[in-house]
Amino acid sequence: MKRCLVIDLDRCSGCDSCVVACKHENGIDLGNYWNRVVPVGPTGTFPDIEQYWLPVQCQQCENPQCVHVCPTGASYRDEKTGVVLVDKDKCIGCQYCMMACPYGVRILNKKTNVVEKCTLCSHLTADGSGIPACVHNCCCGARYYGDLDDPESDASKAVAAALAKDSESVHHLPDPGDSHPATVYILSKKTAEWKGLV
Amino acid sequence: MSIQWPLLVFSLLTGSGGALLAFTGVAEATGVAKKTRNAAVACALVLLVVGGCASVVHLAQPANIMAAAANVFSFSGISVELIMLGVNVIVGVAYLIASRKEASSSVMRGIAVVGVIAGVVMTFVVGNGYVMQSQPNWNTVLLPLAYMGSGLACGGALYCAIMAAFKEDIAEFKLVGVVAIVAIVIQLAACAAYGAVVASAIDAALYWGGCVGVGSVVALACAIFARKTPLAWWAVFAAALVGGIALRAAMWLAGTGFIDMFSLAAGRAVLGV
Repeated sequence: MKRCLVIDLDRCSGCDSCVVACKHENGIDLGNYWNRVVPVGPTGTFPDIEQYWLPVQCQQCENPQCVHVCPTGASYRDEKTGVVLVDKDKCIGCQYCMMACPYGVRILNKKTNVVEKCTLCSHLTADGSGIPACVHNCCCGARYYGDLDDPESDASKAVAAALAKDSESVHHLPDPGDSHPATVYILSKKTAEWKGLV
Repeated sequence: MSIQWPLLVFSLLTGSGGALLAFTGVAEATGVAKKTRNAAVACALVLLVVGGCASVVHLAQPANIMAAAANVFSFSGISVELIMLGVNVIVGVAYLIASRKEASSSVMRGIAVVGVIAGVVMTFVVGNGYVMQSQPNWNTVLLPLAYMGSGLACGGALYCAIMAAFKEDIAEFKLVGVVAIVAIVIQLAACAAYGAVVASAIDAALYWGGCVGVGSVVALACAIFARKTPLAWWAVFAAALVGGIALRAAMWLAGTGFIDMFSLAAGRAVLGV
């Protein structure tokens, strides 16, 4: 199973609803984030300019480097769901996972002294019934959640539909080695050119 | 990335301590500097223990080290450092006990050989934990090799400095002094190679001035001078220590990550937060 997010950048307006929903649902302190939105661009020369918004959070890598460096097994990939999680009871706050994460999307909670990250709202989604708060509250309908190994999931259907329209519209964040980030971004050339390393 | 001082102190002290143990092993195996050996091993143990304590300060709670110790066989970078720290301490204590009980020369040489291997491995593993694909400026074997060179240079210089403090005969310095000079040359080569690979990302003044200039070139010049004036080994040690600090500080400052998305988002946000 490979549960993850599929984010349609053709639809994302950069409104930060996903960020607010995440902070509210997970009780994240002021100044801390589990997800953010990166503005990419504008690029080009007027009037031929383009820009898109890139929502970022844990990419749920299939070969997570954060898990490999963790000395206590606190960071782990749930084999049942494919979601990368942190067992807060085991985390010793050494922050090696933060150094090893290629995307800088983990934070140290200075109150609890443990490392935190997007869990895909596992308290809502672990039993397969709910969806993450960021997906539920996306006012542009740009976020999909599901198992990419299940062709009937919302995530798989969104990817299939995008590929049917434009075979070059499906992207992942650049991979520095063999992390294999699972999160999928849909961006067609009619919106903007995918910038990769932003 | 900001300089993580507890980790800098940890890798500098434990690397130097391991190398000091290795140099004691060299002296034992070759039968020189007899007056110095026990004091050097005691000093190595202090460095290893104080360095280990420094790493604990980096954790969110010092007591969390027990959780790391309980998972020592996870063989992550931190676990391997802990294992080697334990091995070096055990070898050092075994050496002191064997020496006190006047064990046979074959036993002492056996411990010495294990000490050389454990000490050299220690200098390498304290840098090897940082080799990770998410950190392009650390992701090369030249980084742990530079750490190894730094540890050996510090440990070798310190061993000779302790020899000078114990007023060992100048003839006793001949072999150990040459090995210590070779260690500084290894440091110079490894640090120059690492610096050349990450030249565009590294703080040039700090790295080339502090690590390569003071830590290797000045240390080498002092070491050549020290062959006739043994007390100058303290200057070699001081220079190597400055080089070791500069190497580690420059590494942390060059740790930019592959893509730091959250920082990027903050930097491009309207309010910059």
